[in-house]
Amino acid sequence: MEKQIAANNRKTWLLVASMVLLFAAAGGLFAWIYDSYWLGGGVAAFGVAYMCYVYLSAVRKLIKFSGAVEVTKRTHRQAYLLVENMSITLGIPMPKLYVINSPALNAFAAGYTPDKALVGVTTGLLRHLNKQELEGVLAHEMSHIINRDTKIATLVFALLTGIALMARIGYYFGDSPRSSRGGSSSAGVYLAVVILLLLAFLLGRLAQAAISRRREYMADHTGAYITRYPEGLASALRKIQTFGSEIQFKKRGEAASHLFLHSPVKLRGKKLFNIFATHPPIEDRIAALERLKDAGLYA
Amino acid sequence: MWIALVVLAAVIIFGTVFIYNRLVKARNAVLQSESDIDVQFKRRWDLIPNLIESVKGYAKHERETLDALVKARSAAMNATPHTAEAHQAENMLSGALKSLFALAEQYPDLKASQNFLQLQEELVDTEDKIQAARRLYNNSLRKYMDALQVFPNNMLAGVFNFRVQHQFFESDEATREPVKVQF
Repeated sequence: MEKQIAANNRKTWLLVASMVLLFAAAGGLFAWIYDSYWLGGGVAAFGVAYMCYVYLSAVRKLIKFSGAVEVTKRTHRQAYLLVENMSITLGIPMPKLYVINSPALNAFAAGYTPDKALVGVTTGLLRHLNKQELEGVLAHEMSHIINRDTKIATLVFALLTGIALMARIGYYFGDSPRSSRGGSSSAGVYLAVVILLLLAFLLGRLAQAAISRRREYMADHTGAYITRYPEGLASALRKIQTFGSEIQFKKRGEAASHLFLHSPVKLRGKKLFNIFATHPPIEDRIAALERLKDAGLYA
Repeated sequence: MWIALVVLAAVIIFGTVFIYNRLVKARNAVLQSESDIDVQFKRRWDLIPNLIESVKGYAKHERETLDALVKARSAAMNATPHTAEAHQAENMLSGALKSLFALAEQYPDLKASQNFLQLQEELVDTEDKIQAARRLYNNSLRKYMDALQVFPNNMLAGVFNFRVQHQFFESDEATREPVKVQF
């Protein structure tokens, strides 16, 4: 478990470094095309500021778009106590508990550090799951928090938004022929820049999806380790197969889908087997938990 | 040549500092988690007087069980914390509580009392919290032992006098046996 946290911390630093590099490169590109360091610096600074805004507002937006409401021990005693006792075992302050009003079965975890974390469940989940299944789900979500997955997921998302922004800026600037290097060659350059940035965005999406799937398996595993009972989560996932995990968000919810137990939006295509999918197919997750049960948790 | 020696010395010094700090943190984590269990014990002690009062109202003939509970609570509160004696006392207290709740099954009026039910819920949750705190303690202790025993830390541990003075918490024989209920 500590290895996973260490690996995630390394990945985080790598991402931060690549964020900085990306913006330096984009800024340099703009500076070169327009022969103006001010413009390049300005665009890069704007991009960084925008990414910081996206990163810092992510949790607030998730709560707003999902309609999640914070609840107390009085109203949701069982879930509250499960989270509280689990946080004692994990040695972290108790995350705030939220409830989303939705018939779908789903849950989420968010927060930049384990000290200021959130865990959420849907009313559908609370209605359909028994105590052991609920415990399994909550353990999965708490695993995301202690593995720092919530932080890295939000960082990746901010990075992607930044790349998308750069691509858009590049596209708009391409329309205005203000470069000192006039002629058709500069049109080619603009096109190349835009295509490169779009490619970067695509690659970023693929990477994000792959990382997200990997982390979901890890959270399933860590959660099973916390409860010493993989069958709890497996049983919960089976119920999700039956009842569905799709949540009606107030705005487009894809952005935050990686923070949820299972995909809260419907994916295009028949199966969830999609290279852009943030979650592994449910059957595979259940199978992995069954293998864990058979092999023994410490194998 | 000199540079190599200086680099080596620097590595050794920084390495030692790093390991020392890690051992300090690991040891403090054990001490803190041990005290966190006490927090849950205190919660339990504080809930019991009200429980006794609410039971007395409906089952005052059950002197034996009630007295056993009062005595067990006193023993636990007066024991020196973190000793084997304290562990034993707290386990006895768990047993006394289990006996009381098993007994309460025979008194439908008591079971219908909101006050009693609430206290019972809180105490059951407190037992869960004690287990949660003990798991954290066991985890912290294991990490401390790992940190002490791996190479090269084990060499330094002796020098700086780091030792393992704790034991893993294991459930007692007394609590493993089912509670005898007499009808």
